[in-house]
Amino acid sequence: MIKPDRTTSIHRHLAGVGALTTGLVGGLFLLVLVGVSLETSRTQVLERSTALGSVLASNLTASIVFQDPGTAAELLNGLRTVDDVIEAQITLAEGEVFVTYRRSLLEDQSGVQGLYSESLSVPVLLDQEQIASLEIRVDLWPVYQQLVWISAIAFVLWLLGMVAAYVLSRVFNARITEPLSDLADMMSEVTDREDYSQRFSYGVKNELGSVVDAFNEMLVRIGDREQRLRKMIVDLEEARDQAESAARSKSSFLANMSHEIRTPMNGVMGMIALLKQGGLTEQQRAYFETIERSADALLLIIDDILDFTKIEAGRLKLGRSAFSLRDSLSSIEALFSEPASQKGLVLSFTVDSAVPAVVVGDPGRIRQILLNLIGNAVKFTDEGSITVTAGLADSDKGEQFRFTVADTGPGIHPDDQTRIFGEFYQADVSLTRAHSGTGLGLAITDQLVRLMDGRIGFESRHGDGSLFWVELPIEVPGDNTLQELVTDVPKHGAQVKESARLERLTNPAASASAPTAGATEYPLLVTYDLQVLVAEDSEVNQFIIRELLAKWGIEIAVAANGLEAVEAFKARKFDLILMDIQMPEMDGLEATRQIRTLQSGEGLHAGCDIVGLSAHAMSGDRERYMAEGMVDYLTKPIRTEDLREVLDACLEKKQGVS
Amino acid sequence: MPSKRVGLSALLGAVLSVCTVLSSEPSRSAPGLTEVELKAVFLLRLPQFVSWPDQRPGAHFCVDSSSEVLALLSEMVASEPKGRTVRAVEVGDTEGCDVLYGDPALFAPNGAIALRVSDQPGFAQDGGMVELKRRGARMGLVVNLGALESVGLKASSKLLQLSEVVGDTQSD
Repeated sequence: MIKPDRTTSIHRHLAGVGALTTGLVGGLFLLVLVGVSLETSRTQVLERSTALGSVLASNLTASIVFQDPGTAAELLNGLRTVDDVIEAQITLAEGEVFVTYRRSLLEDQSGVQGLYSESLSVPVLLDQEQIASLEIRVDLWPVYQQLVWISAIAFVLWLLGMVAAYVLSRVFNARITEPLSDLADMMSEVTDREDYSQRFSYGVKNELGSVVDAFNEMLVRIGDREQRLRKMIVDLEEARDQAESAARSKSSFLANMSHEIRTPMNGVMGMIALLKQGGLTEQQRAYFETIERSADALLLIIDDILDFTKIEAGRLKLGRSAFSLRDSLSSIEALFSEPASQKGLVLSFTVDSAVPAVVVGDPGRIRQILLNLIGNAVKFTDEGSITVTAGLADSDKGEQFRFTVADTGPGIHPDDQTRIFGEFYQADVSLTRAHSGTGLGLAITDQLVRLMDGRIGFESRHGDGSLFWVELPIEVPGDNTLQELVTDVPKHGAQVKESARLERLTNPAASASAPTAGATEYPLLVTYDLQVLVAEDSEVNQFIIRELLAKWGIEIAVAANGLEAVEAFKARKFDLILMDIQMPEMDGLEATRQIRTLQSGEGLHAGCDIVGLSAHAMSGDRERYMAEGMVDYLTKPIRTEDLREVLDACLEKKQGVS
Repeated sequence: MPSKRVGLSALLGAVLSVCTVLSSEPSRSAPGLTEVELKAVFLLRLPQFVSWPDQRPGAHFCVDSSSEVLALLSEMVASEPKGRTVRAVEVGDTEGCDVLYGDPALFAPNGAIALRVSDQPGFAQDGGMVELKRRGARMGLVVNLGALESVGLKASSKLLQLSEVVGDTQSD
């Protein structure tokens, strides 16, 4: 609502102006009137006195000529009837005073009246000859007194005039200002309620009428525009919703597809593992190993897509645990030393002594960031060196870790530098064919760094190598977190997976290459005396696990979901339960909770351990599973080596107990 | 004259200067005038307050040759630019006179219209026209209106205002 700055209205303002104008003009007029009146009265008094003096002077000639001051004084005494004359004096030509007259000897001539008097001189003539002069002092006090009265009356009239002008102005101005005020009210109402359908009616054709017409016209146009705007907003919202929906669909589709592809891939992987254990010729084994590598590569691509869609959907949660950054770096160095030396590259790692021994963060994701950056460096550099440093740096967010990865590769073209962190992007299209990849690596890295509240950047000159740097906030563990220190050395299965990733990253031809000798060790034929329950809804996985375990003389019981698992647990004593996390009816976590409750509450089959099976474990899942009472977890596709570790641990425990 | 009155009329400025010149008496240090001087001044000014029937200015003074006023008046008239004259006359020789001053014997009525002035006591009362009469320290005037009117002369009211009036007018 528009309000005047000062709390005054045009109405009052106009009335004030009217009154002021009237006051000024009236005041000026009255001043002139009083002045003229004063001058007129004064002139009249003086003229009257002059006339009187002239008559008197004429009559005085004889008494002056014949030296008769007595008669002259008598003549002057005749002035006593005239109030205006205070004093009169006849002065002879040579300056001698002949006769003097005063109205009253008692009157103080230096008083008030003296201030308001004026003298005039009338010549006494005899035959055109001046024989003396008659000086008369005229009292102007009555004139001023009268003036005071006139002024007082004039002032009162002036005041009355002002008031009258103000009142009349208000009355007449109201005819203009009332519609204005109404118009202002309507404007406020229109503004407040945003109701542009209102119209102001004012029947008179004048300037205000023009304003009203313009206002109404404006309302019409604003109303039209408002309608168009609303329609546009609705259209845009619809378009946005559609776009968002499409984006969600895309993400959802990607996520689902990835998951859906992953599940059969697990079957493929499992079957390959089973087949490899059978009696195969060297050639068959080589084929199967190629299939296995291709399947690994495919799984890694799917994992990347899953990561990316999770990040995009904001569903990626960072883990938080204490770990040794130095150990992580050492293991990464160990991972890359082989592929680097194969390409003839010099790989050097430098860790500043200021880097704390133990830090808190998500070791897996930090590792992923470094693997991506170093992997890219190894992948795109054909000769020269790759230098990795880890140290501390001061930034505007305080002290941070700073990792740098410098290579002597082709560098990044200036045109590509702004887009390099975008998804599905590879800098050099010609390189893309040579260096296969999803183009998601740097995008995921960038997103992960952002999630950690860090910064990522690079310096590069086309043809002259690149230097990528990452700055991440430092967190040093307190005493209590130290106890939860986890080692970052991945489990065997994860290591194999990482190796596969590494191989693909650093050697694009690897996925289609011939197998490397001695890649897999064959398990010894041993038997385990263990009762195992497998809770798994996928029949393929059931089959794989059954086949794997059968090799070691283990017959399994199968539960298709959590409910069945709990019932089976109640019915029979098992040494180990392999529990899938995602199952229909009741998921693995709930089933684990119930079984643990039975174990701790009723002491039922207390020796039975539960190991989780996860299709695609997310960061933090491990902690969650442990908290629910699982002793370990395996990532699908299940690898023989991992499974054996679990079986060994279980057997060890069983034998220890017995 | 012992008159201490300072204010002699300013209109006599010129006269006074003449008087001062004429009065060689060293005793006259004061501006006061002697009786003779006063009489001369009065005589000189009288015609200005009297009107003649034929509107004559009354410019010709005839003074008794024996009068001591004669010489003084002559000097005064000579010094003024009005063209007035003064002459000494003997008895019977009053032809062409507007103002006669001196012994009443001079003024035997002869039908001439002249203002007869004398300083002889009782002159006006006895039928003369204007008598210069001494009143203490001052000089006064006695006017016989009847005598004035008998020859058609008229005295100004201003003159009468400060004069002692005697004699009946014709209208009475």
